[in-house]
Amino acid sequence: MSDLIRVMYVEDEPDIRAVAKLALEVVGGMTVSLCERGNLAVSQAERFLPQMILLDVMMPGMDGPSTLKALREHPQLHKVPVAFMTAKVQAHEIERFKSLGAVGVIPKPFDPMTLAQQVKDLWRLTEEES
Amino acid sequence: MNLNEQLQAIQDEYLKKLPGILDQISVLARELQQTAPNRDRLITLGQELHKLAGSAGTFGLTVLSERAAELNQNLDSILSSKAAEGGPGNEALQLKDALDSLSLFAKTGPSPNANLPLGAGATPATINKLLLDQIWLLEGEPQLGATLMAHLESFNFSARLFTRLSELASAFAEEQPQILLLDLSSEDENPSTDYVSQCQFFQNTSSRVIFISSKGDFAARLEAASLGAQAYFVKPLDVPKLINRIEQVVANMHAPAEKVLIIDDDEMLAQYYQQVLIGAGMQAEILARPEKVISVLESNTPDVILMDLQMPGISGQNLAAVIRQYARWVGLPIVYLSAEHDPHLQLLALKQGADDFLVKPITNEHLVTVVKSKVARSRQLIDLMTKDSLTSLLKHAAIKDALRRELGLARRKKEELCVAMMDIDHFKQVNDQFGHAMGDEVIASVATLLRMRLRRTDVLGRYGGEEFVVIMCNCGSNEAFKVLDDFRQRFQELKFSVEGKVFSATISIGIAPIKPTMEIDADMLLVAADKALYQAKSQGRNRVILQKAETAAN
Repeated sequence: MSDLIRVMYVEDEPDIRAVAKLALEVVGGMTVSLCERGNLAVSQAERFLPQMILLDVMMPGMDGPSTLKALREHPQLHKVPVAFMTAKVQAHEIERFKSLGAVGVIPKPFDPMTLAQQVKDLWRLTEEES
Repeated sequence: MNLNEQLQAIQDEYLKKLPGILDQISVLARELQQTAPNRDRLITLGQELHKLAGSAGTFGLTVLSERAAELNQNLDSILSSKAAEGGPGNEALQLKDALDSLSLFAKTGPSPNANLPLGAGATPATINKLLLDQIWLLEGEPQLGATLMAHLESFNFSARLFTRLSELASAFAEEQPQILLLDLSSEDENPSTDYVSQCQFFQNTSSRVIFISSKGDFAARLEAASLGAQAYFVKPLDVPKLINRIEQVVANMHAPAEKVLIIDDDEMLAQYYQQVLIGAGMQAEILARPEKVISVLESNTPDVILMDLQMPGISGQNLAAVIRQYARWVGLPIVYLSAEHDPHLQLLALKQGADDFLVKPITNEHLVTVVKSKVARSRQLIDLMTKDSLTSLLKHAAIKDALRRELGLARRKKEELCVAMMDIDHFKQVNDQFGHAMGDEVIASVATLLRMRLRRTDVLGRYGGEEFVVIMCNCGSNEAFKVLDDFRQRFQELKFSVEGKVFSATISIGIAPIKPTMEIDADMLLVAADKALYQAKSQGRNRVILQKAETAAN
């Protein structure tokens, strides 16, 4: 099993981006590539080649679910596990996200001290399944 | 800036923007009241609340976050219940007051109960604890347990003591430390003990395991190895060696990614290998033009070269031979990657100074494993060559080389730099009174404490006997003084014990700072630091003396 190092985070709120990057890099020891818009995510992921992608659900323009769809259609990126990060949602929405192909949902607000562990746990889950 | 300060800075930015966000929500709410209820507006409002719920909580505004989430859910249920009837009804209007009250929650500021270090509830101590490397110790003997805990804590590990394996195992289900330090001797007394089943809980986790045992025989060591032990210590314990080993294991966990240089004229294939290696967490660069290899080695300093055997105009063997002409790259691992199946030709290629031969096609796993193990081995060898065995700090010659390099770098980047020289006070007396083994322990403790207290970018060396050199890059003199004086005080507080006698030691430190504009070479700088150290000694020892920058140059 390989370690999770390269993570891409797509999120439109700059402060949340900054805090998540800090949490994943400093606490979690990962390398994080940030992306502020869904429509830029695919080309950025092509270059960065993340092991896992985190998507905000509600973004102006291309939202999280549509970004996921675009990633799924990409020949090199379709296998990269994707998790949504979103404020408290109802159970049926979590089911909907999973049916779109997301490996899980990380709830917001997140605690910067434990975010990296949550992400790694999801990653481990996908590694075990594959 | 440490993590907490960085988080604080981001939080401050957010708090500045928050009034604007709340105003926007109020405006949306007011419009809802004044105009006919409008579905699109309600959806926009819901989205704003959703975002607020997510971000406010992350910055410690728990109450505001919860209120926003609640209001968003109310809004959702209004939307879904009224959707069929063509628009929301009066309930929407009741939301308005609730929405206006949001700003009240915001004014209360970050909640002290927030489970976030930013909140007032978290003290610097708890934050630091989160950043320290976590060690769990299983030790059934109360006395040894207490001694080890004291040592671990004085070396800045966050340590937790367990006396029974079963308790440790159940805590492990909740949370995993970086290091498990397990003494299974007390479990030994029970003849039915089955380690293999008892130790299942940490198999395949990222925690590293070190065993302590009363048995030192081959069978016991083999069993520990099969359970994934990274190290094995036999009682009675050599505590400094144990701490040193823990440090090494932790350092390995934090080791930088392996840097690979791929030399191949087949661009597609090179890019494929690059992706495979990056996917395994390494850094990989491609060089398509072999004649540039030396300058690329200088700038990239890879850990390993992966090269094709046949390239247009140049063979891999000859390229390897050129690389080996440079003394600096004699130890750099070179691995061929080629479709050459003839064992005779493969051997011939290896004779020219390469380390391994991989035959294409190769599975990704094979490639990754070979590259990783070559790098690990070569890093170990480099450590052995350049590092002092007692302290794992750079040896005399290596620290001088490092100083020359860092000095050049500081000048190019126009950064300040400080060099400190330090010497344990009255070290001869420590040796005479408590023996050489104890002297070694004191020396090793200086090294470990330095690693704990200084930044990872600082370069540390053992200059000779009880003398140390520290290079603090991009660091002004005041900052260096603060850090080293803090180190000096902490060192003085360390307690050493030998045969029931407890003693402590002190250290004197001289610092020579330079400004990027100063014309000074490494030797002069060391002399300046040594002068400052001499002053510290002659003024009564156990102190830090800062040489003025101008004086250092003269």
